[in-house]
Amino acid sequence: MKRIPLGRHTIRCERLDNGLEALILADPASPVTAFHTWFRVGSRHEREGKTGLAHLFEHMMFEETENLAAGEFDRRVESVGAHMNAGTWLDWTYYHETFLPEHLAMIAELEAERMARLKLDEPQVEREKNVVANERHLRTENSVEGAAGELLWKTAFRAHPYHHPVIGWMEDIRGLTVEDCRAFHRAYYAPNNAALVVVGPVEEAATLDLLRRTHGGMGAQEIPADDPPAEPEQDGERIARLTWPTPSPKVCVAWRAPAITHPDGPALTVLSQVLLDGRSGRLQRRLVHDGEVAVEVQGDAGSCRDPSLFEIWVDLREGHPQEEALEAVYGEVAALAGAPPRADEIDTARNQVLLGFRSALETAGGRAHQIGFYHVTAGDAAHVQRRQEALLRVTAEDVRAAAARYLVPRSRTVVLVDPAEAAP
Amino acid sequence: MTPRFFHEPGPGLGFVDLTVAFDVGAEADPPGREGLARLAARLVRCGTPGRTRAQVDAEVERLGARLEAAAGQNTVMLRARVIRENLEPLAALLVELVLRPAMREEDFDQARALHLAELVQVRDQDRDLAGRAFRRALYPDGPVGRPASGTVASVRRLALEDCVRFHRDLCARDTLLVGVAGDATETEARRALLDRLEALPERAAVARPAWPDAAPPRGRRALLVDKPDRSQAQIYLGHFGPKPGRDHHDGLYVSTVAFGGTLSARLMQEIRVKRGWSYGAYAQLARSRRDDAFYLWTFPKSADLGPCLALELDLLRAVAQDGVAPQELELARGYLVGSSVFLVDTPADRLERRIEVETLGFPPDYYAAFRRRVESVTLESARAATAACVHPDDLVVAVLCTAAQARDAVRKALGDGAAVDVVAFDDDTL
Repeated sequence: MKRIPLGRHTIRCERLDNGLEALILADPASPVTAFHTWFRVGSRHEREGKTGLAHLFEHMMFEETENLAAGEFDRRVESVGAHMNAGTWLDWTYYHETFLPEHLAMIAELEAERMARLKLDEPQVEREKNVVANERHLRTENSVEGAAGELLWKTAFRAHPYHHPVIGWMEDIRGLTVEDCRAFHRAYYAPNNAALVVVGPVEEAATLDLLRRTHGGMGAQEIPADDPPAEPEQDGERIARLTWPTPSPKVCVAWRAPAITHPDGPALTVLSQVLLDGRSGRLQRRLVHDGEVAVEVQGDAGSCRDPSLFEIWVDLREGHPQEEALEAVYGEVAALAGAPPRADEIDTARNQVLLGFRSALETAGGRAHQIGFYHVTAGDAAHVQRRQEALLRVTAEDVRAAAARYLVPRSRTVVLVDPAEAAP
Repeated sequence: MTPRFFHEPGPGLGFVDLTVAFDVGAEADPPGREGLARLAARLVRCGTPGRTRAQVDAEVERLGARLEAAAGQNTVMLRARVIRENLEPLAALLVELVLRPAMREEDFDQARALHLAELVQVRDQDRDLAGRAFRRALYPDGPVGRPASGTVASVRRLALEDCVRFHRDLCARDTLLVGVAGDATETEARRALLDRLEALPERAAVARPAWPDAAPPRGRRALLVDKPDRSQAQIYLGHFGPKPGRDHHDGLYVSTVAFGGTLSARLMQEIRVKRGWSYGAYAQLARSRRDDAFYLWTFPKSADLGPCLALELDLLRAVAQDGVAPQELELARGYLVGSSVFLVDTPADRLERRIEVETLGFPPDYYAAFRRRVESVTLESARAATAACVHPDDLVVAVLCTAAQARDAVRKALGDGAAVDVVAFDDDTL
């Protein structure tokens, strides 16, 4: 048993005999309970030709089980007003419910049932493939942001499976079979590849007893090695173009960023804040509010288990060429690589870190997400608190050094989105 | 008159939410000047006599805060979240912005230019375009159909003087609502925000425009929003439904959840689960100050548009004729009763509900009595509501699609006599 501090609370961490990890945060003041099931499987575990399998499987987890007829899982959860959903990402898949505290036992039983006794049959897989294809139409085929994001990661990664999209390539989705799903379930949906997170007005020992009863009887399995091919160091800038029926050009610039546990991660996060945060970030001012070149600038510092991307997205205003965005982005990056940010910029970043951290822990569901995400992605839920502390320790010189080390032209990938010419 | 004040404590959260709201919004925009309330709200945050816009932005963020200025149909609102340690300076800045906004010409020009660019950017968002088209088709002559953001043409017509006048007329104690939620005691909340707003002038409430009730649609009318290369359609269809407090509101609200508000609901089962046509299929009864939309939203791939639309109309007819089934009603009531905790889960949620009741004119106990009202909906009252309020033959349909490929399918699904119009996705009237 281990205890991890998180804000005003502590997380009790236990490993059951079958390898399942249970992380329980008791908060008597919470009006609801959150129950999360995180699996250490995502699109990184897929192979070429079978992309989209992790995400399709997430859909299949809402289907029939040995003891629940089709639709019964949803009906039981919804009949008590629980909010539920699931998500698949590069490194993980998770299932979550938030509900009135008196329904904890029922939710735990339902989650255990679908984890251990899911039925996978041909008609359901075929039908759900259509739904996933429709989801892909929504998120990618008819979305400029989705299409550009897919092209960015495909261009930036050539060896590592971060190359392919979480939802999968359309032709791969259509080719997935029920046997693919069964093999995936056998391989990855095992107690020793999962973590349960419970946050709410619960009693720790009783909750642990409950989880032992509902989940403790499942047998551990041998989990396939998680050793995707490493992405070779990038040896030069890569540029990809996309033409789209969009009113204005867009630009995405990305650099290779280290893994979530790397010590330089917090400095890159603060660097991202100095450039992009709120309305006072350097690029927000230069491109949106003062320069009036762009409608929107946003980005992400990368938060994946393996090295990923530090991204900056610029949505230009009509009539402004992409070069204006590139000049501004490269100029501000070069400025930060040459001279540390000002003291007031570091103060701003620190206070925004505090606001973000406290806001993320506002609800039971928010806390459960933080705990599950860092436990699975960074290997330890203690990273929730540690990361905040590390962010608050970042110095101006750390930020400069991170910009100089990571945001260099040879590790850069650029996607340029050009508006399609209107049909005559 | 003392401004209406709401406090929802949340000790230990480490942050505080502040709301300064005025219960007049875009519905007061003069015809042809749509977007005024929203632009004026944005301009308010662009500096004070002693601080430039950039200085305000930098100070807000240095204090560990986020500040949003927005206008909906019925409200203008400035909302901030700040770390507890900086409640006082942030509240002082917020009040300074409300009472003494600089309203400079250069800030107006910049805010308007950004606002215009955002209106163009919306053209990338298929769902938003379909939703805007649906509202325009549903209510061509009133505030429900007018986007609070305005159009390119209407925003171009706005001048700084319009915003100055709007702010002057709006800013009075009797239209003001002040809310504080989170990690502040009531004493701290009052001192930080309410006491500082004492300087607001006291005068008669701004007259809310007397928009007539909308004429319900007659027959079936479709508006296709034509966008090239769409492999998926976005479909909104529906008509008006009763606002909170009106006859049949509760029955229709619960029936709508039973029909299309959950994964287990009929609409999702028929369209997604049985046929795999659309990733989502939802029905909703929008709630605002006046009768608002009862609508369905789906997004099938283009090849499934016709059958999906036809099925939605059949399902609507069935629910209008027969109402929801007993087991559907039971699930919907259980869902709504159990999930009502999320309406008031956090101090910020509780504050938002209280402000909604005030600004949207809901019955005072609308949320307080929510569970009781849901539980009191019977099969008979639910069926009476759907029979009275669901009209499958009198509705509007908005479809974002590639019109050349979709027009015939839409005509066929809607049947003889349906009017089908087409508008380009970059048409400024959307």
